[in-house]
Amino acid sequence: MFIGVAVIAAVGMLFSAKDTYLRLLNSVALVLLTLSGGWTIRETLSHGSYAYGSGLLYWDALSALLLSVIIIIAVYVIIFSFGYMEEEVSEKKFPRSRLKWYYFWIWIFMATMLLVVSTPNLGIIWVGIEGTTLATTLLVGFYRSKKAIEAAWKYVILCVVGISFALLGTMLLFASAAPLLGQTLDALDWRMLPEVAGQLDSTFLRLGVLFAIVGYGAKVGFAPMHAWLPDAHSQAPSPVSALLSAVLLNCALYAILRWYSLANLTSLGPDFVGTILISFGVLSLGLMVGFILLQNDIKRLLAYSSVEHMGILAIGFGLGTREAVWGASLHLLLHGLTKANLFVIIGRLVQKTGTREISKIRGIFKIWPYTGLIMVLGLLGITGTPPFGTFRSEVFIFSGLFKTGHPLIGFLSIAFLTIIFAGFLYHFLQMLYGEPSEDVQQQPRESVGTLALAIPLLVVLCLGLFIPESLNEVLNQVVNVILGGV
Amino acid sequence: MVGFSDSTLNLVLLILLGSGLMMVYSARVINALNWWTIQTVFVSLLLIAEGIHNDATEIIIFGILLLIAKAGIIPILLRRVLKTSRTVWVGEIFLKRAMSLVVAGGLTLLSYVITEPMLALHPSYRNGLAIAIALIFCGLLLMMTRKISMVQVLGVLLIDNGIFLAGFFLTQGMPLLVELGAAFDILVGVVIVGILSKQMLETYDSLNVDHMRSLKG
Repeated sequence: MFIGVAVIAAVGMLFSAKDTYLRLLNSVALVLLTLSGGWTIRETLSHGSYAYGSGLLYWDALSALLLSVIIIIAVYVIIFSFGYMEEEVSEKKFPRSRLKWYYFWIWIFMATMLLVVSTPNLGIIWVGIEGTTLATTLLVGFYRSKKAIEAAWKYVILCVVGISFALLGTMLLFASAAPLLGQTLDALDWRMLPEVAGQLDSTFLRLGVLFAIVGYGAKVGFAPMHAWLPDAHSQAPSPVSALLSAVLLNCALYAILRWYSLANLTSLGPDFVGTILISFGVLSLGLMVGFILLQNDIKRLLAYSSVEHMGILAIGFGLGTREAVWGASLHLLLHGLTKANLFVIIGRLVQKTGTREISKIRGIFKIWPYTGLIMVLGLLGITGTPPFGTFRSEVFIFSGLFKTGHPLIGFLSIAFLTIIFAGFLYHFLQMLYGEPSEDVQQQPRESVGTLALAIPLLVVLCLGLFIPESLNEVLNQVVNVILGGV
Repeated sequence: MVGFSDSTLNLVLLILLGSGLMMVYSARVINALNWWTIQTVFVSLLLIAEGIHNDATEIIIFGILLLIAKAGIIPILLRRVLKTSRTVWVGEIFLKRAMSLVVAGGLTLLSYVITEPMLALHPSYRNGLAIAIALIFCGLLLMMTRKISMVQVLGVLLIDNGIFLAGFFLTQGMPLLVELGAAFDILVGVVIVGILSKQMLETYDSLNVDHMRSLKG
């Protein structure tokens, strides 16, 4: 349903590049997306699962969580896109005629992500993830500057090669499952696989799982395969960066989670993938410390922070205890909201000041106090400071490390987080205070309306103060799905 | 299984491996592209032969589609990019052609060694699986030791052929829906890479990736 909405919307975007037309069509598409998606989520959560089209599309609590993240962030980011991209057109960053292609690719991108979270088949998930790479390549290179094209090139080559290995992994899984389930889609269906999980051939499976985790891991941006990520995030238009960081990475992680919950049931045992994920997680955290401390490009700073948060998520899911997985599921949602909000507000700031260099942005509180306020909220949210929800989820994740007997890793991770917090504080405080440069001072002031952009961060704040029972129930369902009902 | 004798199969495999090695040895991009096209034709023929042998119409149709898309459309697209960019040389870095061939030979041996434990399931496919893995290695080698963007794309396409072949021997074909999706992705991927190369030509005036070193840290 909503995949169809996204595809039709994408094609519809191509007919005209007029501002009013695009706004109208996008709004209609967003409303339809929210209605059909919301309905699916409600059906899924009330029945535990929901199938459509003779089981070709299928959702459970985990898919529903991802689906909600995609829809919420898409609505927020696309609405922000209207004003932002208009401004870019009027600043002559690109001709107006190209604007329709922007929305076309955004909606194709949406369609591929919706496909990833709507299919119960590991093969189709692969097709979808590869599709997301292709759909975003031209968005990353949208400005067609030298740097943008370089970033797009690196992105498409690295991710396509990475994802190829995931395909090899999927084939190995199929080779071991096909004798048991037949040469059909069933043999890659994560509803069928658990029944035969114990009998899968372990040589093929071990290799297949390894290839899949590493392949999708490149797309999630785990260190040391993260090289494409800061380039792509910093060169893409800011709304696209927000979507890449807040949704796309989660979709790739979703593919890993499906493999993870399957591998836990097989002869490999629950620790096999868990250990890989924790190693990637700690490595991502540790390597990002240096990049974040020494960063001078504000959008790259946020991109590296995404790698860091994917590391935190990997640790949480990799631990495999109920509390840690619960925390990681919550963190997935909260990181998406926080990072989308930060990319939006920073994107606006970069557009107004005309620079991404932290050392050239000064005195935001003096000119744009509301933007400054949102940045403070974003700073506290992204670094997991209480009372923000990210603090709650990170506590759940890292307490898991100590509970399962990894005190050294736990200590290291928290030390890394503390340094990253210091780094963020240093960069943000520099931008917020001081004397703004002269041409920035001539920029128009802003109205209270800017504060409307902070809605996602306010949600994150509220979820830090209390978790509604309904959300808690949903998260418990998600934990059950990931841990296979253990 | 495959609808012809062992010696024919071995001959086809030899052609596949040979064309992979020739891609590594090519000094001109256009030659590498031609070798890749030959290889893809034989990969598709292998699939069609299997389809005929098993009387599976959908596999035959898929094989023909693959032949048209991968051996027809993709080479035409890439040739056009090459023509407009006037790129001839593959741009060897780190390893010259002859040395690359030696390394590729070593990688082929290595792939025989690493497929050893997987043979318990299908001993008769020893050559097929090992050569598939060897092609993946050759693709990676090509991507690492050449600086022209089109050759890197050919590397990706070689890896794709290798993975396809590995899948063919491991599983006698994935579910059709997945295969179709994967083939469609590759086709769209090449179109997008073509567009990106056009933009690269407009901004850099060449397909040499050496120019693209500005994004760091």
